[in-house]
Amino acid sequence: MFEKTGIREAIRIVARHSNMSRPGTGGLFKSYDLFAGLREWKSFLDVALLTLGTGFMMAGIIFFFAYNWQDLPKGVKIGMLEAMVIACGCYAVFSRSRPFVRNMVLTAAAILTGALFAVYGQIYQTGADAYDFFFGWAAAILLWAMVASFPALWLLLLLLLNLTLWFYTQQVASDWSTSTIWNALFLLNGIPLVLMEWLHARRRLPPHSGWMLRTVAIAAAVILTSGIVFSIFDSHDGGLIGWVLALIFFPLGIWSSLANRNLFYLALVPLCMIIIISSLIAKGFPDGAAMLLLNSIFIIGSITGLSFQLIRLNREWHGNK
Amino acid sequence: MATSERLEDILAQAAAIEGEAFHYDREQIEAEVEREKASIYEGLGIKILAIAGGFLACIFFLGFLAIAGLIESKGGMLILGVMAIGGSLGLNYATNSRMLDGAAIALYISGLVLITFGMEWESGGIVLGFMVIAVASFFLMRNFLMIFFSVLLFFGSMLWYIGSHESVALFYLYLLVASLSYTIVSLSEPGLLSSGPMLNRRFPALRTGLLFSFVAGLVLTMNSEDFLYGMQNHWLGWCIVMISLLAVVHYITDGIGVQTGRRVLFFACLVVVLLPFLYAPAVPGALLVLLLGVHTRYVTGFACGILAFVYFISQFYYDLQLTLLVKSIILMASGALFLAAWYIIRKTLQRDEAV
Repeated sequence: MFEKTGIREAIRIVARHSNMSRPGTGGLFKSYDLFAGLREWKSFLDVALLTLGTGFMMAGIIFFFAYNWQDLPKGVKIGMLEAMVIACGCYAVFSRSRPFVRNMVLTAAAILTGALFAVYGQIYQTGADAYDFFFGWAAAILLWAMVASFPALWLLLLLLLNLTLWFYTQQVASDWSTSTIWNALFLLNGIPLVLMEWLHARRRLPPHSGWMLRTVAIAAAVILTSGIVFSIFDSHDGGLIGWVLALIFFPLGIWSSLANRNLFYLALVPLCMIIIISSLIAKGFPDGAAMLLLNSIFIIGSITGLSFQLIRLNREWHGNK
Repeated sequence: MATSERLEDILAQAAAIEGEAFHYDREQIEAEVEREKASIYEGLGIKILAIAGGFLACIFFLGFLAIAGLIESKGGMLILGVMAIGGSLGLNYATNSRMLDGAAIALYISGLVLITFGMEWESGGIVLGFMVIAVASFFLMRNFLMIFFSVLLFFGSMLWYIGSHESVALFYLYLLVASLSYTIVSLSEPGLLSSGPMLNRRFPALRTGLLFSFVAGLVLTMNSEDFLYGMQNHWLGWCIVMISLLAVVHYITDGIGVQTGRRVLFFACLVVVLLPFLYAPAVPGALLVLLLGVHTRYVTGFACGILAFVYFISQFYYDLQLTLLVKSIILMASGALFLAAWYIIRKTLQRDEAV
């Protein structure tokens, strides 16, 4: 839907250096379909209405069970949810609908599974910790996520695993140091990210997976950078592993961008490095004024240098198209 | 298709449409296409870097000025602020390259902050001053980010004035101006591109600036009690946003050839579906942004529309003074309505395609 940027830019330049009239420019926009036509609106409505319908329905069901209606018998509560999970699962497996529709229904089943576990825990007072709940939920949908090949479902699984680890460190492993928690969270996201990038480079991931990779990459970068910055300012918390992870994963990101001729990691990784070095400057200079001046000069200098390199590389890669 | 072939094709099409009167500067066009053809692969990365770096550097720089005692007098701050903005303008003029965006942004924002502290806080003069700086920057700056910032500064100054004077009426005027200007600019892209080099060059930044200014207005309607005490009559905001939304729907349905009868039905359905959000104009506002994003194939608008829609809808249901049971019934009913609409449209399209 958004692939016409090049034509738009060329028309803009032609209009700038010519006496093209308004109807003439409008005519060009029409010739090149620069405004969405019937086909685009059909596909937009198809995806938007199905996503909205599923999203509202799921939110409604979760709100309904969160209300914990006392008059509703236990069996009916669990039975309703189980019936919905089974119905969605059967539809996803046996229906002849398009893969997108079946995957949406399977994602709905994955969300309902969480609601089912929550209601079960609520009725029988299982006493499970939060991490138990999220781990059980993640384990239950793992197979679906592997089979479905649907980025939204993968992201849900990864989110559940992150919540599991986070609550585990809060409720059980309370003796873990802060940087150990950051590092563990980073590995939980970083390792799948490397695997998915590898598959993406070999075109083994479904189309339109880019947004999921970017989301996970930004989350992983924020976690790793936060852990290192925290260890810089807290001298009691050894942050050596964080630095080692940065030494392994940062070059991998740069290499991935260079290999795929994509600027994403070439912008993200240096930005993380700039933040880390800026923190080192802040920690290292006892004189506040000198530190602030040096940091502002460093940031402007590094961002300017980085932008220069990125623009140059981009021209090298795409300047001959 | 390679860039050069595409350009030839565009020029041939333009000549066919315009006839013999069509004149163009081939040398300039080829040079600029050559210069810009790689930029469409840049994405948002370099812009985000420049903005993040500019803000960070600005914070450190202002901290330095404060700790070093260089901005103790109001007059000094005012002079330094004007100098910083002048420096940013000079930097923008010295080179058209995007690599100095970070430095230009840092100077521009530092200048604005210094001017703010250099003048009296409550004076309307500062708002007027900022609006003058914004208009001057819009015409003088040449770079996307700086023009974008000048649009934000203009609308931000309006919001500052409205907030400090607690004027509900002016806020609705803001919403009207922001929604109409974003809608008109988005739909008039061909006209603005052919209206001369000045607007042609500034169009992308102008549109993005208007988008963010409009979304900022919508966000404030959702958090109105914090922004404007006593802003209760939201139905007026809903009416204002609906004017633009219905105009856009009319424009789109007209463009894809929907018959008048069906169009009226479509309008009625839209009004009925959005009526529950009478006191939450941000929801139809987000829908407006989303539809314009799809219609003009504008990816930033599309992404903003999705995020805004999800956020505003969640906030709306969170704020409702109803029990979870009633909320769940409303949500499930809405979900069923959307799924029914999806099913009906799908079946209708399949039938139409078969015919």
